[in-house]
Amino acid sequence: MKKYTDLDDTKLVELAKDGEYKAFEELVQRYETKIYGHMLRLLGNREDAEDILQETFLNAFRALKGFRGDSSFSTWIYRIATNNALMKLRKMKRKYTEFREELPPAELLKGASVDHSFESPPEALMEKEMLEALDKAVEKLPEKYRAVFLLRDVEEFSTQRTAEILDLTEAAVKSRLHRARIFLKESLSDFLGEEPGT
Amino acid sequence: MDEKNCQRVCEMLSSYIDEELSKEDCKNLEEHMASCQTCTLFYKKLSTTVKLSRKLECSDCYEMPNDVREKLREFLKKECKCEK
Repeated sequence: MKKYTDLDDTKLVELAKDGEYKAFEELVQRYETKIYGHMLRLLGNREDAEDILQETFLNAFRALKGFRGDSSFSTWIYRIATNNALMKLRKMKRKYTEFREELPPAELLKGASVDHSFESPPEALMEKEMLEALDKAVEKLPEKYRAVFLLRDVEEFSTQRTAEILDLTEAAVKSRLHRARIFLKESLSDFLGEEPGT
Repeated sequence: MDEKNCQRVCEMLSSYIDEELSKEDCKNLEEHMASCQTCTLFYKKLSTTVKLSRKLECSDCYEMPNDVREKLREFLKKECKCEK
């Protein structure tokens, strides 16, 4: 009996193309959590994230036969998901989300896996507050900056892979990322202080 | 400090943080920051923001609930099997 968990993405794609549904299921299992988190951050609410998650994997299943492997499966699935989410955002033109407002601030970052072992309690508390402020600022980022920021700084994709996912030049990724970081830095000015002359 | 120079340095700081600058640009930037408090402060704050951003990924709020996972599996099983 085949152990799909032992196979790499390329092999799973091959098997799925040959009609082995279980190979496709393994790919879904590998990426569903990451894609869902990415969708939730981009779209800002659970319902839309869930819809786009389903749409993404169904699109992937339908397009699998045409997937030539020029990029990795991971880049490809992120590209489908991000495009679907951006299309949804454009349709809805939604700036703010109900999801975050539903949650009390303390809940928002519950369990954030931050190593506080070297920090005194006030510093840990300060970091928690900063993370909350940052999280709120991310949803205010214009979508073209938000997508780049999430892929580069949160998902930690390289500039090249982010460019592939978003179909942008690397120069455009760098420029948008820099703008996003400056916007977010400014959102933390209550904690970091203002710069002289700004 | 020359304002134009500061502006140019600030534009390069993200690439500096990401280690995407050439050796020469790095050297020029570090030389500038050694004598410019404004740019050094800007760099420190930008760098703190980037470090903090990397911790956002771990938030439990963005984990997929089991019911969403189950619905996805059911949805795909149904839709994909229809298309086989």
